Amino acid sequence: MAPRTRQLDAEPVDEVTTAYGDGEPMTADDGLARGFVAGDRACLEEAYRRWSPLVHTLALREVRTAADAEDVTQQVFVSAWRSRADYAPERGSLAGWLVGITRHRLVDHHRRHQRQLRLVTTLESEAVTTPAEGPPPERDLERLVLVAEIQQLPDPRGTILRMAYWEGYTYAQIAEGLGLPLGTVKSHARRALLHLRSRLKEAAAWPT
Amino acid sequence: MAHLSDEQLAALAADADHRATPDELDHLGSCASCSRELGALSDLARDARAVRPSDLRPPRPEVWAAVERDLAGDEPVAAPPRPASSRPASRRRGALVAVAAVSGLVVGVGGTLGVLALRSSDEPVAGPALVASTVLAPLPGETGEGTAELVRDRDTLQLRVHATLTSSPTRDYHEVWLINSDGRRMYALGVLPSSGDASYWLPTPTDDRLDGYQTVDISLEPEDGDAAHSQHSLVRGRLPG
Repeated sequence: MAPRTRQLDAEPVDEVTTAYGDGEPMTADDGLARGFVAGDRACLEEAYRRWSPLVHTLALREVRTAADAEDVTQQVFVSAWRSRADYAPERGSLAGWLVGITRHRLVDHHRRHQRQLRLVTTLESEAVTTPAEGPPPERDLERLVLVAEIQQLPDPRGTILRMAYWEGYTYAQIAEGLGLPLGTVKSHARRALLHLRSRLKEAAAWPT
Repeated sequence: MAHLSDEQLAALAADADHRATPDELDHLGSCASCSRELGALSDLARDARAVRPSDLRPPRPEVWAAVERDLAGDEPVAAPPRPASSRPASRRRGALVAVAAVSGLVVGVGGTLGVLALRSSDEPVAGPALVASTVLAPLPGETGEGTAELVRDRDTLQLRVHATLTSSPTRDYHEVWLINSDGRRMYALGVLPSSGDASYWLPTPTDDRLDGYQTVDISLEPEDGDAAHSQHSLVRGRLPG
């Protein structure tokens, strides 16, 4: 077995443009969703790694304690796994399905919380209802999905986008730093933006 | 002129140094749909620059442990073979063909693992019991390390893998395999998440028609739609038995 040195692929620009786009045959995400439905535990772990920060952050915004947010996160993934037969990958992304389950769980959580309040209070129930916050504004969800998607961009695309957008490097500096042609770096940045666009379009269609 | 391509729009939205050509400017001036798309992409680029990783708060590791505890009593499912993609498969290598049926694993693991498991099932154990373990060592010219533990919990067997591998800068991914000592048959347990930690459930072995799946192998697999082993193994270890 010959040793392989691995560097960022300096692929020619015209090949870069084929990496993403509509009607792509199969992406790692398709494989993840199908493996999840088929009961592959490794896919549950991978789904948790990718999407638990989003689920947990959504929960944190709507419940009163950190422990409650952790409980909701735990319930979402346990419930997603046990009801995986109900999920059809061709109808939407795994992320969208998980966010939908998160919303249901948060509604349940608020209802239980209301009931507990009524049980412990001696006042009339109307007087102690804490207004349950509604779902976070869509704009807000979109922002959080965007962070999660940027963090999941495959390399070298992800590295290039994060260096340019979050670390303030110019494309020329990135090209020099990664040892890639400037045209390749710019092409990756363009494709990454188009990929994020298609992901957010998909997310905009999630049921609320 | 024709509508601007996605590439042109993305270049205008994502690259401050990129100047629109007179033709492009002309078209944008008269085409509502292209200027709307450009506006949306520019907004997206602006949002992407404005967000930060710290906007997301990952849960503490205890939450994953709680998920695993909750699911520990569930009916285990063997990792199915990766679905074939609609992409034409690259040339299959004749020597190594993944065992395609889950039943192959049930039976196949039966031999080696079954014998090991029976040994530890004489006295009832309260929690998970270690049946066998091995150190995963890098193959010549490769880097990486890890451990694989075969754990029995009530009536299920689990292979727990912990590996530290050089992450691949490309779209390649790592996959965990069991290889038969006949050197030909192998079974794909599943993808190894980038954390390097995963558990794969093996159904309780029932008979021993196939024997010898003792080698744990982690390979680097290209995204080529070919479910067979890439023959690029990184680390291996042999479960004693």
